[in-house]
Amino acid sequence: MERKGYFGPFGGRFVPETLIPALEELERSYQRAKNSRKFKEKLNYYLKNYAGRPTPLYFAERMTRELGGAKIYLKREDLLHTGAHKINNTLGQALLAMEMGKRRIIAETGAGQHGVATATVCALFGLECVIYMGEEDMRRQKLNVFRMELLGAKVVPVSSGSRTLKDAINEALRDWITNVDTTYYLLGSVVGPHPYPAIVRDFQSVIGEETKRQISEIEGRLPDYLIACVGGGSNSMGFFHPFFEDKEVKFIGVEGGGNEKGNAASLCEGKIGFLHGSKTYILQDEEGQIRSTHSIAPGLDYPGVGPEHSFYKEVGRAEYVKVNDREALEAFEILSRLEGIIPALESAHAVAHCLKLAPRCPKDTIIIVNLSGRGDKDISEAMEVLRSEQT
Amino acid sequence: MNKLDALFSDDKLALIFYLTGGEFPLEETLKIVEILVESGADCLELGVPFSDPLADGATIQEAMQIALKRDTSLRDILELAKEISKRFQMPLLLMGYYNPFYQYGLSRLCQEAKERGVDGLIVPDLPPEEAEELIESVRENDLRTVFLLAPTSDEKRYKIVGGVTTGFIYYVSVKGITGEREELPKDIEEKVPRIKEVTGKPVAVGFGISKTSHIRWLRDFADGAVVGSALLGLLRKYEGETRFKVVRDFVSSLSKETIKTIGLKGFVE
Repeated sequence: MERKGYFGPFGGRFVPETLIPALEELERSYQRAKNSRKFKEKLNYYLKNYAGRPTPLYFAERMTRELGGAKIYLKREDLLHTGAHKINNTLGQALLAMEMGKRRIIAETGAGQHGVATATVCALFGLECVIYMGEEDMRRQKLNVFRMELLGAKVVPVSSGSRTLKDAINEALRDWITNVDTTYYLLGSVVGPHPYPAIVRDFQSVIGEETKRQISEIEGRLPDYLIACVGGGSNSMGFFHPFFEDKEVKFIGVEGGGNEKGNAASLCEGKIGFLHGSKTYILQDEEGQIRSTHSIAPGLDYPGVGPEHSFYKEVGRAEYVKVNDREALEAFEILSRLEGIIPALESAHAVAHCLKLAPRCPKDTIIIVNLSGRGDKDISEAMEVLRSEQT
Repeated sequence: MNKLDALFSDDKLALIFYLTGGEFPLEETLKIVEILVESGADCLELGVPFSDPLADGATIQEAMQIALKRDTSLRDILELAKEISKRFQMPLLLMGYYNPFYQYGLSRLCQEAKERGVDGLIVPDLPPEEAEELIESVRENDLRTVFLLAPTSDEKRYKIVGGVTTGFIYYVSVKGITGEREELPKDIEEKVPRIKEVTGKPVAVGFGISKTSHIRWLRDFADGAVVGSALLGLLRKYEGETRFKVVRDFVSSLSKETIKTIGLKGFVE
């Protein structure tokens, strides 16, 4: 049997002793909630009536015709409340926190999407909310900072290290170590110490479960390919996982290939190590120091990846590729023009890989791209880059 | 031979100091260590810089950033350990996060550490359940393990940690990260004797220890005390000869308070 908290050789619980009892408590509480009909009903109620589930599985007819190959479907997580898949997880974990009697919620955020989704559910349930965010990210994402504050959250600037997402996670963990009795740490991706990767995966699996039902209804069969972007890897894991046993369905995870200055492709370019409590693929130097990363999509800009993805890579269940900034921007424009859907720059990475793959496939091939978020948050960044290229 | 085996005694609290390796140039570091030894330090914990030290507060984070900017590698820290153990007899510990140790190779690390006079390893993000490989390498090279217990740990944890500790147990005084504190939680007085009773291992208390009053209190029920951020704070605040004098005075003032006043046994057999 597998070691507890591991996916093959990956995962585990590499954290200071102070947190071990808290993680054990979290694991017990989660097991209870997972088996509780009442908990599931409550979560489903909010997913449906508050977040807007189920999301459509949309046949991208023009894009399919233009590319002249596989049939392309988009799973529309961008239509959820707050504009991305993140709310699936924050609703689940906020309900879990309340089951555990914790009313102070902390979270990390990079670009602010998870921070906004956390602040949103805290407002909904009347919970205290503290969001850690790197100073550098706060500067780049002023609007999201304001959005979180508007929702009643306190945003704490993180000035240590590279002042980005990884440092925000360090600081959130430090807060948790200090206030562990009263505080629930609402992690935003399938990373961190056990049981977080499993909890976040389970709450995001609604994406894949719905997709499976929808495509079976529309096409009467399962798809050939699932494509999703991978930063920490929560939207892709939630999308892939329900298809794990369906070996005919191929998974492709798309990482941030960045530019000549750097990348965020932990699975393609990293090596095995330990970060934020788990054993997984990590971008690091020869000395084991964590490398700074770059991607035009802030949600992909992270030097680690969920341990279950490392496992999928190891056993060959999923293929991981990278798409660079340039290709992601092109896909961002193409999807906008062909389908009237402006994707998040993260999701544009998945679209970009689809643009490469679809024309090479026979017409009866089915590809589903998980459109994890909408692009409103990226408009000004994209405008700057695209305009500067025109001049 | 392992110098840690003789660190603790029934009549004196062992004073353990923490320095981040590579924060200062080699000669300066050796001078600081010399002053620590002369003023009454019993043991040195040498910190290995890491980019993401999640158990550490601002003072040690900054020390690690400085050391990394000076391109300090684990190999450099091992060389520093060699220079220290050549000159001074006191036990020497390496404290570092798991990833740099793992990338270096645990077996190679332990072998080279032993050759350079290191006596034990502390890895704050490696609980016993994940430490099988490290424990094996430590044992093979006659080093000692130091595992941590925290205010959140229950008796089940005491047993797990006690079962794999061959050096001493590092009791984390507070729920929190490293850094100076005015007051220490009162319950340390009950927890430390209980940990000693359950595990049969010596216990040193760390995190927040910065004052003579802390030492005076701890000496009658703990076996050791670890001082880190308070020392680093002084080293950063002062320069030149003043710095050395301030450190000498600080360490001496703590050292004076280490003699146990009641006949408590070092640990329960």
